[in-house]
Amino acid sequence: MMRKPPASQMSLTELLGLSKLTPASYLEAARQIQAGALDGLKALRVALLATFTADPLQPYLVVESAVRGLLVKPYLAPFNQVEQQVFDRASGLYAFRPDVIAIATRLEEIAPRLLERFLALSSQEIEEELDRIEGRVQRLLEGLRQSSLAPVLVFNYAAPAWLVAGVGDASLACSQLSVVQRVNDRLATSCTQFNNVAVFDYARLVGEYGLRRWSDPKLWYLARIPFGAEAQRDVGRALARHLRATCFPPCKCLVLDVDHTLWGGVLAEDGLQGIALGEDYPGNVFKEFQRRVLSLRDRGILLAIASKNNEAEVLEALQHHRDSLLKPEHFAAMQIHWQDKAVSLRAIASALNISTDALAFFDDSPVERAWVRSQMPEVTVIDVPESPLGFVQALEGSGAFDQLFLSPEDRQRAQWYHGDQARKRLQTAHPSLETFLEELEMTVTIGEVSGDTLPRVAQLVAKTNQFNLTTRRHTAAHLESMLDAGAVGLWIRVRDRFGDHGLVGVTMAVSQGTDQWTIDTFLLSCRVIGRRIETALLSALANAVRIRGGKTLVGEYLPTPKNAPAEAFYPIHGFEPLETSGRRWVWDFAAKGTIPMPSLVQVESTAEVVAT
Amino acid sequence: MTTQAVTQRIHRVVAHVFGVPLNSISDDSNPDTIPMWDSLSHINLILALEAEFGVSLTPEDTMDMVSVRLIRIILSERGVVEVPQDA
Repeated sequence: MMRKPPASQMSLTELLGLSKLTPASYLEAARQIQAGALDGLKALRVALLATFTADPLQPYLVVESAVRGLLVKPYLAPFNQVEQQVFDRASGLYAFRPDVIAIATRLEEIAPRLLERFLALSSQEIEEELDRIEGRVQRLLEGLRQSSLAPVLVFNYAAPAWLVAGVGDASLACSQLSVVQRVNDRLATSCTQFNNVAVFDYARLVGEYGLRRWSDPKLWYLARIPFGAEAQRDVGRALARHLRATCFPPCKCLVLDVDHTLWGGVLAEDGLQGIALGEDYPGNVFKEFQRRVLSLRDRGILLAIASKNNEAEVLEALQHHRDSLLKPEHFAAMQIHWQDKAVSLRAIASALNISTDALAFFDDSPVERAWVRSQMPEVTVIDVPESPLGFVQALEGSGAFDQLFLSPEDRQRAQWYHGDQARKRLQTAHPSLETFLEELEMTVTIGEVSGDTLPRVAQLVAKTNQFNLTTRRHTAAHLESMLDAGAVGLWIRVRDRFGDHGLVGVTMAVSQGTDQWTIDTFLLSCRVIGRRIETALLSALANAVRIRGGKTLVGEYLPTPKNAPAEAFYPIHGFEPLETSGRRWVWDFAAKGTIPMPSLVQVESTAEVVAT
Repeated sequence: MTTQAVTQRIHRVVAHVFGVPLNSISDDSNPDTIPMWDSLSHINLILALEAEFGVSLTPEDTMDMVSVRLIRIILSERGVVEVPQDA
């Protein structure tokens, strides 16, 4: 296999000097490309056999392939001549000597009974239909393989535009949708029986765009074209991505910048606490991006850093920032200094013993990207949009790591990280809340509010509405003065098997100089309500108060239009009413002892607050 | 930015879709004067016009738009009209 040529480094707009990507501009661009307007493209002969009119895909296929370094010469077999072309060794298909063959059939053409007469079919007849479709695909692939060794892409089947049972389909013992899924599952299995035959996930493509908008009825009724203009573009683009994956190996290493890439802001200016990375906007955008990057690592992609920064500061941020999912050990190589990034990329490739054309480069700075493109045209430079909201799309949409067949090693690696068992457990139902909570594998950390947590604590105090017992909007300065005056302030962080929720709860208790303490503030972010986390925080608070000599703990509920979810909090936990209004409740340590820590929550604590 | 005349925009779309020089397009251009204008590329033309003018055309419109003049007339029926330059 050869590596991708330089043209794959250009965006479509750069490539063609287009400001707007319209059907007309694609047609014009395709014409220019086929006339040889671009150098350095790898020529690829692509045959498309379809049971419908596929011709409108051509310009999109040509242009989107050119962006990915390929000069596609398409061959469109005559409409609905799939078998005729495949089984006739003298057909136009084989005369064309295709490098890649795509087979696009639709259930509407090959198994109309499954779509139109589904409810009239017995389960026996449905099975027969499934066998028939599978047999047809297998015979086609056998026929192809007798005359061609070219890689084959087989379109799978989209969900029907209309389900015959309508809203009742999903409740059928054997729903129409599930049968289409079974057809697709069996298609995938059939493909694995042949060398170099991959599924083209047409069903997914239709779903991503939207089944209801996918077709343009007039195109279907006038010309048997099953997709509208934008859908044609999407199919062309997805086909081009697959073609690229059949011709070029995936990049092996993702090289990342850090500032405004792994977090918001500039570390050297904003400091460890000032960079945006966490559970709230904009930090959550960067955290999500880190999540995607980690998932690539699970797939076997090496990670590296090329950053103009002070190395020690970056390492500290990765190691110690609570919300940085990416840790120093996740990176196979790091180049953090003030030198040229092309130098860094070469050093990374050399350290990992891979060639520089196996590098993909993700950097928010257009200047750095342009520099790397100019110095190292073989590197896949990912087009990064200005807004971090588009980062995941840019990374995933780049196709830099596309691989049609994951090797056994890749799959093993994936299992190592994600675990088949975990997946199976996710599939089992959660019969009770207890089981569900147990399977969440929650761990909470409780600590005392201090300087480094105060900003987040103040933020929660300012914005939490639902599970907020008193809704007192103390400022950070006021919280600080309360603490200075002897108040107990605790925060709680939660993580579970699905990830880290961050710092999600706060409580403050004050004493009036007596042994009676009052819970001034108790709140929890709504995304973790109902998991016994509130109980854990209350238990820790009660214990902290007891340690400080408190004899009774008074809880208040001050109703607002939004905080009904917190109304029964104190009575549920066994507090006794102090008055009939239902607003003030009391816990008497002498009579009732400690408030038990919930058993389903594992507690790691940095403060002496957990009852023993 | 001045609003580009509708006619000019139609001419440009037709030129792009069929790959012919802009100055060869006139109101009288039709499938007989543009060899590339066959039934399949006619579909491309319709989709290109829809995208250019942000309109949705019916099957009847599609079948009737068989010259640049007819395209202009049908588009105007669909609300695509000349905007005065000083508007």
